[in-house]
Amino acid sequence: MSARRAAGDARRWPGLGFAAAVFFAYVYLPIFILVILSFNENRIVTIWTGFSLEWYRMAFANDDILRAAGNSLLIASVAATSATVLATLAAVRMATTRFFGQTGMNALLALPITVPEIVPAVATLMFFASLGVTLGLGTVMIAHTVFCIPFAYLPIRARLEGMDPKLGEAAADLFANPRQAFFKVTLPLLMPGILSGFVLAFIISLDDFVTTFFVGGAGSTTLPIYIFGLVRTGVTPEVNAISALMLLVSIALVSLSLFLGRSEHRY
Amino acid sequence: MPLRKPEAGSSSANAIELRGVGKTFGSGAAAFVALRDVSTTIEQNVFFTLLGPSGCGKTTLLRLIAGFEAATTGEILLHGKEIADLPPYRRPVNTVFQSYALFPHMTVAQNVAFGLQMLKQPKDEIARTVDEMLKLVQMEALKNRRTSELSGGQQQRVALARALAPKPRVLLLDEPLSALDLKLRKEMQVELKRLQTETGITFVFVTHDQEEALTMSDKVAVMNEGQILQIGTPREIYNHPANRFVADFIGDINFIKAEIVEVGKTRCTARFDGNQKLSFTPDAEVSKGQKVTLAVRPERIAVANGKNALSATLDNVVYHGTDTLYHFSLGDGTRMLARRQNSDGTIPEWQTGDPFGWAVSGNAVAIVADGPEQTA
Ligand SMILES: Nc1ncnc2c1ncn2[C@@H]1O[C@H](COP(=O)(O)OP(=O)(O)O)[C@@H](O)[C@H]1O
Ligand SMILES: [Mg+2]
Repeated sequence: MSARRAAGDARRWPGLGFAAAVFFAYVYLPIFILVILSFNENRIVTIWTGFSLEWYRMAFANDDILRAAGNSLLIASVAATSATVLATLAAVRMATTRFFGQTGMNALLALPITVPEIVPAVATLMFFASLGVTLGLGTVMIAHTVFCIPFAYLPIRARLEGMDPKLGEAAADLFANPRQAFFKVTLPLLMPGILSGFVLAFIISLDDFVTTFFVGGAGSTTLPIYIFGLVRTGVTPEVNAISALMLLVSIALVSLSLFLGRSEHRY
Repeated sequence: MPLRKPEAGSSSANAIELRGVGKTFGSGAAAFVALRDVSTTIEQNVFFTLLGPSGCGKTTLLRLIAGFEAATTGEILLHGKEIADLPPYRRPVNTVFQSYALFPHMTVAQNVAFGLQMLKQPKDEIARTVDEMLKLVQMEALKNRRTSELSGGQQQRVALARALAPKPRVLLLDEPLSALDLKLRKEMQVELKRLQTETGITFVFVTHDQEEALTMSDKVAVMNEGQILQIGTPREIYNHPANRFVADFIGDINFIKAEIVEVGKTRCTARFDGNQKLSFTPDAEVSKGQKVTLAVRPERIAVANGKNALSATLDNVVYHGTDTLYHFSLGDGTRMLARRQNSDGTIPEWQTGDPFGWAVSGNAVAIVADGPEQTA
């Protein structure tokens, strides 16, 4: 028996290819079917009768959907921007100075990613309630900003870690004060990391349901919340169309993020 | 001539003065003394080299002068003024970093222009200086390249141009040639020396390569374990090393334990290896009966016959192209090395254990103190 066929070699396990096929089918088939059905002419979602863009037209003509989409984009823009600014400041500070408790702080910054979202969502709701704040767009933006920070932070931090610390000293040596050194050297070099952090935060916010559901109020209905309301009364082709559009936006953003990530290698 | 010379008499004659400078990293049990009580004066317009093994504190000293680190004790004067309160971006010195630290998001020209822009010089003047600097380091053709597209040697030149562009009166260079291959390094050594002479800028150059230090410098400071052991011209350092460490670090050298048995007007005689006698001109005060360590460079030992020759036993002969190395031993086991140029092309027949006759001229012997290397 050749060494390559040793029993422990996972690549040789029988049925591995089949398991992989099942996995991919399980993940992507429903999405694929959803996209196909969004072009279905028939009102009854599961019966294919012909190709049509009718549901897309209807979605774009529906004021509620447009308002929800507008809210989603507004919240994602504000939250991703604020989170990225805060994350950039945090990452730069963490990389340039040493202070007591730094390791712990670094871990705490990334921890929220692993905490079940329901926990901070309920806690935030209680926090706003105890302050007597009216729930709405504002509270959702604040909550989104907070949970987006770790997602924005990680790519920026990774980028900073790959940066030569001597560059800052070189800038100072060439008469740049700390402000000039930051804007002329650190920030441009961080840009790919900042942009991919922003895109990531944007997608996370766009996609969020749990937090929005808890801390939202009148006038803060986002697309996921709206879709949830629709499917409670049954899946309509319209829902398929909106979902397909959201998928398109996400894919576009992820591609952009990957592209930006790749351009990092130029430096 | 591309750069202005600093006007004579425009300030005190010393570019840099270090007074009892010390640097300790960390505190308590983890404290590490990187520099202790370093004092020296670096005059204007000289090529000053800090030479020492890796980890001896050379980079730390440069970083103190540039302002990236604060001295724990002592003071640093730049052109007669204390600079402790000045942040790095206010100090009129520029640095060529060991890793070059070029800005990767800028072109070659933008890198060179950076310091001038920070000094708020007019645009046309900046453009002129950048061209001038790139010409100086022969990089005009690659002006618009990104620095990541350059070879090591080219990056080195850009780093040099960038540091020279603001026309500092003191340039700090941290092992700028260590990443280059031998041939390029030799070229750049000549180039750097030429630049220093032409511009009249004071160069404080760091290296661990003794040959580089000897060929380029006006003055060399030999460092070890955070201290300066000797400062002098390359000739002084090479021919009259102050202690064993310096003697050993700079090139090959033979140490002979001896006792002074006779002191004359200009010459003295030392007895070594049982009863062999060597007469020489001492470079330090000696007295009869004194125990000394003598240092002799291999190239100052001649292969000799005849009755005045000193005796030894041959261990090995190694042919090196331009010269031949004779490894031999004294009767007391002291290992010695002699180097002889292969000017006549003949290589002698030899066998291990053959008697070996040798001689040393009277001015080739230095008396060295037993330095830190032995006490440590
Ligand atoms: N920031 C620092 N913290 C602690 N130790 C340091 C620091 N910088 C340098 N050292 C130590 O100081 C010593 C001298 O370092 P350095 O000046 O870089 O030596 P060289 O340039 O001569 O090789 C080394 O032992 C190094 O480990
Ligand atoms: Mg060093």
